[in-house]
Formats: sequence, structure tokens, C-alpha cells
Amino acid sequence: MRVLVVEDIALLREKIVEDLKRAGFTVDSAADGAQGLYIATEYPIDIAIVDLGLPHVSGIDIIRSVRAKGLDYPIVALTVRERWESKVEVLEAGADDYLVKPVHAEELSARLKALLRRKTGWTQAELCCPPIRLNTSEQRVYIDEREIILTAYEYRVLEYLILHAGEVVSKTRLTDSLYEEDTDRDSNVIEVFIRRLRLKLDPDEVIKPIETLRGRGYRFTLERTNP
Amino acid sequence: MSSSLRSRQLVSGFSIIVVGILVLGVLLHLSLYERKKEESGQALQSTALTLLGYLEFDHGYFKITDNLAEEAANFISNGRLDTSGERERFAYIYDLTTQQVVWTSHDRNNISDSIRAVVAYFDFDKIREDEELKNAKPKSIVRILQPVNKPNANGTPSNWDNSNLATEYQVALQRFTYSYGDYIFVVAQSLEAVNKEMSDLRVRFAVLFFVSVVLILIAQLASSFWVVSPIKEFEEEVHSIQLGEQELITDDYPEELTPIKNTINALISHESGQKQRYKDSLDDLAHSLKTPLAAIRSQIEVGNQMPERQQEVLTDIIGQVDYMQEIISRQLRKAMVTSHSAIIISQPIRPILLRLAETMKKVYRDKTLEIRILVDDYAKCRLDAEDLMELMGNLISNACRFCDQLVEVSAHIREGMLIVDIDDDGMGFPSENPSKLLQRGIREDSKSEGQGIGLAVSTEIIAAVGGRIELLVSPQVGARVRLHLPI
Repeated sequence: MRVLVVEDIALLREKIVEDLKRAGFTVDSAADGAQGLYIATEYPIDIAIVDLGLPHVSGIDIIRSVRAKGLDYPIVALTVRERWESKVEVLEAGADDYLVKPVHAEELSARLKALLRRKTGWTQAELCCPPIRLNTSEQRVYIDEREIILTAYEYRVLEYLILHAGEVVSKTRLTDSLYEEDTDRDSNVIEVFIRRLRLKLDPDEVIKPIETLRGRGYRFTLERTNP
Repeated sequence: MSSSLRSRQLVSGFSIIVVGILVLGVLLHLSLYERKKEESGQALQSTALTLLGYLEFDHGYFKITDNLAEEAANFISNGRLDTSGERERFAYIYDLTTQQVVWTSHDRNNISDSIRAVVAYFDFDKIREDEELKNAKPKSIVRILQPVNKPNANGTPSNWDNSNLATEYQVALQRFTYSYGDYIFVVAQSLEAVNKEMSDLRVRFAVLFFVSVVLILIAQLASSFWVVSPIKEFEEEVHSIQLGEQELITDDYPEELTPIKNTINALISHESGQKQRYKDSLDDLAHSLKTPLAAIRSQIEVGNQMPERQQEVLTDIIGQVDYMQEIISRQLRKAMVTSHSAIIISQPIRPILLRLAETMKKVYRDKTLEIRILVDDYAKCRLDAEDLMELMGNLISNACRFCDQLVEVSAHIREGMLIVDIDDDGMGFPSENPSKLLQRGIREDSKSEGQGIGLAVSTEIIAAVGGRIELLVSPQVGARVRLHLPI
């Protein structure tokens, strides 16, 4: 999952970026409104965190511009103001959630995950596609009651696929959600991850959780049990 | 000059009165002058009539009837128609044909050039053409005429001089046309007397005018002092408030100043209330920060003495810092309550409720929630928009958090207050001492952002506008927060 963080205070931005990376997100960051608006509208991001008190282009303007362009990914606004007046204004502008600084790492990633789940139709923190069960808050994967140990990247690929279970996810989308804009990409890497996931999840090729659609991408085939 | 109210009033009032007096004076003067002229003209006509009675016409000559000679002489000298009133008053008969004076009142029988020389002549060529005069028999007509500088072409008396002619004469004229000749009977008097009287009058008027202007000026000054004095007094009271000698404007003032007085008093009360609130919250802040600071300090000392317990100490310090953070954010929210103007317009609460309902659906989107706003546009209250939003936001948010699935906001007006009920279908308030939730204060509040802070801030907002808050049971057996708000 690819997150954009727009925050002008370097210390705070770095801390948020660090926390989110640890929570398993791919993070792009911007230090001012103009850069933030550019990334928010030009990059394939899944969710954005926008500080309201930015220089040049204010946070609320970024949110309005993003919504005006028809982009509907979730946006979390960060602010120092706690009054309802500003909460209402921000949510009316198109933000989906609202966090008052100082921000706690756990709370932030929990909110982001909740918003992302809700966006893809999930409501619980645990994503169940029997026999596979993925706990997003603990970042653990189970088949029946047996835990499967995955690397960080393998987990992220699986999470993305399960969140979009039933949808076709292209290779580019997967790459975008995994890597920051300026890293070197090799599309073969995705194929490697998928192969390894298939091996770990389904060594005997019984459940066949990930389907390859030639030239289009991948699809997670197992049925969701919780909505 | 025009910056002072008093001088404005002074100048405008004064100029109106002065112009008024002047116009009145001119009108009075003109009508008086007309009346004077008319009076003297009538007198002249009657003199002419009497004089004609003494005259008889005999074969081309005019003369005083013999047996009336003495009476006529008396009349002429009493009327100063003889030489004693030289060129002031005179009477003569002028022959239009020969262009000569044929009889004068100065000498009744001998008409010599010296006699002709003392009368004033008029433009008889013009008088001859006067249609009114031709038809005015048997009465004379009165005209204001200017004397000519030279009586006529051939009949000018040798010793005639025009040195002491008056500029204007009032003349009674009567024309007689006989077979012997064409005659004009002239009785004239100088208008100088009337003019002099008028100019005397003008001088008197000017003096009177000057005196009254001075008097008016004095009266105006006095009245302006009287009119402006409440403003002066007002200013002094405001000044003494600035000096801290008094708190409010207390004197009674004319009704025009009363609204200003009330507004200023409202502003002052508002400001002093504000001061009190600032003081309170500063006090709270300082006191509540002291405890965690002391705790941190003692923890550091513990850490210094027992290095093996450093991890524990750090956890404690982080806990205290979090606590301080929370205290600060609470105080910030409280400090913002009513930090705005004292004069608030009554406004409908429905638009704000609708916005909040939409927002709540977003904030509590994981909950199946129904928010009913049963408030119409007539429900208004006198509360700052931002405060209203904060108040309703806190209370509706609480209701959304604690409800099962329904939040209902309704309003009605009772006893001059707007009553707003915020109901939910949740568990209701804790049964023992729910009013504790409304109390202001930080330390006894639990750490969880439950009903505590929202209700405390709401209570402050309502108290600041003179309203009331009640905790009741809703018809759905959940909590009902009832607000009494000023309209």
C-alpha cells in the first residue's frame, strides 16, 4: 500500500514516514503543498496524509484539488486545531478522517488500514478468505490455524491482493504499491514474489489462491467470508 | 472646526437664524416703504383736491377765488406749499401748449421767472402721453417721478438751477383740457423725507440686527452647552473607566445615547468576563502542569540514583509528557471558547446541525447510525457560529459515540429560550451524580476522551452566553442533553 505524507515539519514528517514504513507501507513524502499536490494528483497512491497548515498550497486546497480531479483514494487530514468548525470544514472538503497532532504511530497506521479496508469493502482488521486468514494489525498470515512466515515484501504483495480480492491487479499497480517513485524497479521481481507466495501458501497446488491472467495481471481467487 | 458636534450645531443653527432675520427684515422694510409711499400719495391727492377747490379758471388764467384768498393762503402755508418748503413741496399748473408754468402756489398771481425757477419740472412730453392721466378725471393720479435737468426747450426760466433738486418726487397729477389750452395740475413733494425715514429705519434695524445676533450667539452657545453636555459627561465616564476609576457607565443619559451606553457596558462586561476566563484557564494550566513536572523531576532523580531502573523511569516520563500534552490541548480548546465579539446576532441552528450530521456520518462510518435533525429554520439562538458548531459538535459526537443506532436533535421555544434536546438510544448517563460530568476542571477527568471534556467545554460555552445545560433521560431511554439557549 502506497501512502503519501504531506507535512512541512521535517522532524514530524520523518517520524511519520519511519512509523509507516515499519507498519508495512510504501511511503512517498512531500515537504510543501505544491510538491504534495503534484504527487497527490500524478502518482498512483492508495492513501494520503495531509497536514492542513502547509506553506504555499494549504492542506485543504490539496484535498479539494484531489477531489475535484475525481480521485477518490482516502485522505487523512492532520491538524493542530481541535474545533468542530475546522473538522467539519476539512471533512466537507473531502477528507475521510481527521487526526489531531501529536500523532501516535499505532493510531495513524490503524486509521490508514481501516480506511483502506473500507475502501476495498473490508470492515474487520482480519481479512478472511478461507483457508487463508490475514491479520493486518499484526501482519501475520495463517492457513487454517498454521502461521505462514512471509518476508515483508511477500506480505505486502499478499495484503494488496487480498484487499482487492476478486479484482484483477496489474503488475504495474503492484509495483507502484510496493516501491517508492525513485527506486529502481524490475518487473520480474513481482513474478518472483508471486512464485514464492504460491510455494509458501499452496505447496501442493490444492487451493490455487493466486491466478495469473496473461498480459493483465493477477487475481486473488478465494472467496471473502467477512464483508 | 466641523469635527466638533457642538461647533456644527452652533454654525448651522446660527446661520439659519441670521439668514432668517435678514430675510424677514428686508421683507418688512419693503412693505413698510410701500405703505409709507401709499400713505403720502393719498395725502398728496387730498391736498391736490383741496387746492383745486380754491382755484378758479378765468379766461385762460388760473387764480385763487377772491373770497377764499385768506383760507387758501393759510392752507398753502400750513401745507408748506409756499417758498418755505422750497423744492420740497410745491404745486403749480403747467400749460402743455406754451410749455410754461401758469400758476404756482408760491405766488398766486405774479408768475415770474424767479417763481418758475423754484419748482421742479418733470418730463411733460411723457406725461402728456399718459393714457391713465387722460381718463383720470376728476381725480388726480399719483406717480413717482424723477425731475428733468432742463424744464423745456423754450420756456426755461433764466435763473433756473437744478442744484437742490431732490432725486425723486411723489407727484399728484391732474389734466384739464379746455378750449383755451391744455393744462396739468401738479402737486409734488420730495420723497427724500420718506427715504430718510426709511434709511433711519435701516440704521435702527441694523443695530437691532447686530444686537440680536449677539444675543442669539450667546443663547446658541448656552443651548449647545446644554445639548452637548451629556456627550461630554459620557466621554468623561468612559475616560474614568479607562483609568479604572469605575467599571460601568452608570449615569442616565438622553435616549439617543442609551443604546451606546448599553453597548459599551455589554462590551466591558464581556471583556472582563473574558479576563476572568483567561485568568482561570491560566491558573488551571499552571497548576495542572506542576504535578507532572514534579513527577518527572523526581523520576529523573530516581533514574540518576538507580541506573538499573532507567527503562521504568523513561516509561513513566513518557506517560507524564503524554498527560501534559493532553492538559495543554484541553486548555487550548477551552481558551477558544467565546474569544470573539460581545454582540452576537441570533441565527438559525438548522444549517449547522445539518453540516454536523453529514460530518458525523463520516466520523462514525463504521457504525450503523441514523441522525435525525427535527429542527426547523425558525429555531434561532444568540450564539456565535463557531461556538454553536463546537457546542453541537461535542454533544452530537458524544451522542453518536454512545448511541446504539439513533441520534435525534429536536428544538422548541419555551419561556423566551430555545430548548434543544440531543437524544440517543444508548446506555444513558451514569446514574450517580451525572452533573459531575458538567463540571469544569482537568485533574479529576479520566484520561479517556469520553463525555468529560466535550461536556465541560459545552458547559463553558453555554455559561458564557447565559444559557443552561441539563442531563436527562431520552424517550429512547438513552441520554438526553437539554440546552437552554438565549434567543
